[in-house]
Amino acid sequence: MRLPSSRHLGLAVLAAVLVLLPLALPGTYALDVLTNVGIAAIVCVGLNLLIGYAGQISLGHAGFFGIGAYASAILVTNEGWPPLLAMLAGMALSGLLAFAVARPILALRGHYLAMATLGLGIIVSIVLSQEVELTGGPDGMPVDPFTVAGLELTGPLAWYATVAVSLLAVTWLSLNLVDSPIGRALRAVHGAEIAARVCGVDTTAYKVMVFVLSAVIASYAGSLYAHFAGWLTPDEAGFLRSIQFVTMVVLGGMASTFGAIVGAALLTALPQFLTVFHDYEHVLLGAVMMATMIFLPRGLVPTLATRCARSGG
Amino acid sequence: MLLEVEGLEAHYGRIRALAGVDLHVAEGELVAIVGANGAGKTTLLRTLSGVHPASAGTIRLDGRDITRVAGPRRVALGIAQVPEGRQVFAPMSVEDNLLLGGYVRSAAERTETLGEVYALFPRLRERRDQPAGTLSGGEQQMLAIGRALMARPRLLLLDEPSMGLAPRIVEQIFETIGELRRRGTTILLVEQNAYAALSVADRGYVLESGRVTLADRAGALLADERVKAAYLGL
Ligand SMILES: Nc1ncnc2c1ncn2[C@@H]1O[C@H](COP(=O)(O)OP(=O)(O)OP(=O)(O)O)[C@@H](O)[C@H]1O
Ligand SMILES: [Mg+2]
Repeated sequence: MRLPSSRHLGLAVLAAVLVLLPLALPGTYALDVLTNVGIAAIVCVGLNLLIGYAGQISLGHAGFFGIGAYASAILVTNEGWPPLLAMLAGMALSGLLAFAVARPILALRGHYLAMATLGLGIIVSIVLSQEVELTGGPDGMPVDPFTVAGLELTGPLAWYATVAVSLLAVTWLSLNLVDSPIGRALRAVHGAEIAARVCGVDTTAYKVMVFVLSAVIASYAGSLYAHFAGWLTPDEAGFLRSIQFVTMVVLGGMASTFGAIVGAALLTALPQFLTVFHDYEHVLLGAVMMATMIFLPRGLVPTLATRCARSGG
Repeated sequence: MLLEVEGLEAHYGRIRALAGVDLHVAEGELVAIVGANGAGKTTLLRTLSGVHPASAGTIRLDGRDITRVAGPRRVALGIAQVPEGRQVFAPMSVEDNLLLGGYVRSAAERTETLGEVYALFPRLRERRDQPAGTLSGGEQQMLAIGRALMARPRLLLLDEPSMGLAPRIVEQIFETIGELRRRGTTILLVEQNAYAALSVADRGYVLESGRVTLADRAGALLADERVKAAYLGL
């Protein structure tokens, strides 16, 4: 049995790192990068549940990220909704769409979900580009600031804190899910589907639930991003963004919640700090994916954890 | 009658794997189904547990028609299957495997049954924290049986528990099956090892190309010339 304390220890370490990082890396620019890292990490923690624990790949998670982002942008900026309500509307829409797509597909075996989400992501980004009236098309649109009860969320530190707290919450949710009876069921879905079903686990229902949850989390992160960035283009919902998310999860380590965060941090921060990478970002992404598959098939964090455990005792 | 099966058919695409099977199992009985490779034994168990859909016929548990009940729900109704090739959840610990077996039961029932399973298989208790994938073949078979028992089944479906195991281990496994029978568990046992299966069973069926061709008391089947020639290598 995994000790519950190891879960709390991990969360405590994450919290400490999140508090210490802005002290170690002061300055507006660094804080902005860290906020972007946090937003990507939120998506990846959710996506990791799907990839790492339900054994399913989504090649369209940026679509849900984009739905959240544009729901916030359109409803708040154009329609004057309260940002919190717009965010919830985006999450509801993403969840419903995920459910509608996943329910029929996940009853089938194999990698049909990957294909379906690939299509879904492409459709979302095309719609966002075409609906120029609503979204400003490929040029993008401005997004009003995030306000709750008349208070405006401004300044890099406030944004960083908001995203950091969100990341902690999503991580806590994910860790609890993984260690619960549902989590055992999820790992079983990945391990041996038939055996799970004869244990009475409705594997299809779980896969659908995890997919919907990961879509809702991505949508939430998208809404945060829209207000944080203040300007939105359909690229945020595009195919490359989806591939980026998957690569982050794979690099960090599938089935490792903290791995997903490390993957998100590396692939978000590296291109920012090393501008050489920036021009070759897409090449880098492909190279990272291939290198991970060949040299670290389990991903960074699980591999390092095993190494440390071995040398430590 | 605990289990009644009538005219059961199952297909893989256009291949018909079960061609109208009739059989029944009474409460407390140990019934063996023997047959050659590809006879449809695994398909029969998968159709009974609901992992594979029936294309015709009826399955009744305690008189209730469950032919259209989804697989996971049948576990709660009392059907647990030990799948062919064991299929333990390799990266998970032995104990987590067992707990997952009791998935449809309450936490209190799970704890109680876990103790019973450990009493039946002390080896599993010794290895409770070990990843299931690192167990030996015989231990994995015990784990697969223990996992199914965790669901507190009224009917236990066993698919080839002797597969790929050394003779001494096979003997142990069949002793355990006999012990379960004495404790009152109702068992439907599928085996290629016809001699071992019929030796512990009350009754038996011979399955050929998706059909039941012989049905009798286990002792009578063991003495039957056709069974001897085809399945006992005598
Ligand atoms: N997944 C599948 N797809 C297509 N055909 C299948 C599939 N599984 C089984 N079959 C076919 O169905 C028939 C019955 O197979 P089944 O596995 O039930 O036999 P079995 O009696 O369990 O054999 P064995 O003793 O080798 O386990 C065989 O002809 C087999 O080829
Ligand atoms: Mg078989």
